[in-house]
Amino acid sequence: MAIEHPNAEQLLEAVSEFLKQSILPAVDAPALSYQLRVAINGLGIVGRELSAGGNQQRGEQALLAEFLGQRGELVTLREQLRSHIEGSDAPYRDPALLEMLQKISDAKLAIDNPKYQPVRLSSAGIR
Amino acid sequence: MTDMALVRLLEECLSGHWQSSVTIDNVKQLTGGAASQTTAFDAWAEGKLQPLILRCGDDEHQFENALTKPTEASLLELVYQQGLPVPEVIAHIPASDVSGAGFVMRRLAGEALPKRILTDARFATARELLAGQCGAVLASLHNIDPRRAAMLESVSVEDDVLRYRERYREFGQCLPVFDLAFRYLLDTPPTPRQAAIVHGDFRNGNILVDEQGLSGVLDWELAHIGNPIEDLGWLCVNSWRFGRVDKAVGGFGDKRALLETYNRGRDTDVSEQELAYWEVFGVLKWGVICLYQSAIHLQGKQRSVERAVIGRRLSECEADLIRLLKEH
Repeated sequence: MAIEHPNAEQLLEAVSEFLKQSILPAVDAPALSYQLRVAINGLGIVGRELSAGGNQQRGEQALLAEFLGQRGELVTLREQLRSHIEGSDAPYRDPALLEMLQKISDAKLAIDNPKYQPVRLSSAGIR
Repeated sequence: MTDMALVRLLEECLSGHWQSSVTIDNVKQLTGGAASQTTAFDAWAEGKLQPLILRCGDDEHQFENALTKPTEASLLELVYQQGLPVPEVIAHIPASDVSGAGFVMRRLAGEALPKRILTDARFATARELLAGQCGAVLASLHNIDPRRAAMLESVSVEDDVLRYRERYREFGQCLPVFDLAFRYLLDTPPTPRQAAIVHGDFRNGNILVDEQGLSGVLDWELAHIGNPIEDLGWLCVNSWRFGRVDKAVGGFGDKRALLETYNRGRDTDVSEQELAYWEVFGVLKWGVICLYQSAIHLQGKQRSVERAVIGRRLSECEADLIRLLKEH
């Protein structure tokens, strides 16, 4: 039976809180303090990945399978999408491809950096 | 390197420059690992305190094609002579037991930390002026006859894109968004421009700013000869907006202001559309640098939590690339 008290997420949260509340204020050296904040940020990514529980990968796999019209392992499907991109005419103008990639990207970003604001569409446009 | 040995080396080299005895004080290492250092220090010479910077050694884990320190010094001397706001090189430091080859330059006043540049009240006026000033300085740089910069490598756009794609593929990570963006760059070549000196890393973080705006341009290691609009696109990459996504130029200004002074300074007609190609190029370049940084860690060449975490910034690059590609 899995150990549940505290579970992995709760344990991670405790470590992260300790670093943030007890260690960070005690670190004077700017370079070290910067590295520590990067490390705490890294723990945040791990926490969000744990909470997602593989949903991101399963979602990506399903989207790729639907777009390519075939089943397979995630790594294989990614390779197949690469071949599709290599083999099609102006794939960067395919709205269905871009929509699918954006859905996958949004789910990854929600884990890696949910606060990140991607560039917004402007009126200028790319030719 | 020991502080004492370094101090003696600097005193010896700088005494030659000022033709009098020099005393070194306040040595403070700013960045650097075993192989490469940037060190701030003060020298007492000619009866006053001279704020200086030593850059020496070459980082074996520096991103590819980075200039060696002696090459960087000769480029700095060239652009300084042309009146660009860069530090004056004071002395060349030969390689020795104490340090790798390097150079000493004047330490310019100004703020380099992007967060402070973007938020400090004292830079409010500077922020209004910066985008236009960046355009003007880049125009001056790109107006220099590139034949004078024989120390730099010349690269065509296509070769550069292919080289970055090769680097990306070497890491063995399959990122379809990257494949798509590389395909776009190769299929739709940009407006050809006469080759010029490209800074290669002109962005918020590598500029010095004071209350009047741009006061210095730093970090010339990625300089090369190529299509100059690369510098303008790189300056607009979202990562260098530090969260101020609506201020496309470094988080402080807009593209119109940048292009206005740039085009005026060069009598040219770069449009936002042309810039868009180079923004895609810039995001991909940043993505390949992220891959490279995390690989240095993962392959055990230099273990570092910072390099590890930077690998997860690829998601940011992907998010920006998709949106940029959707704009056509």
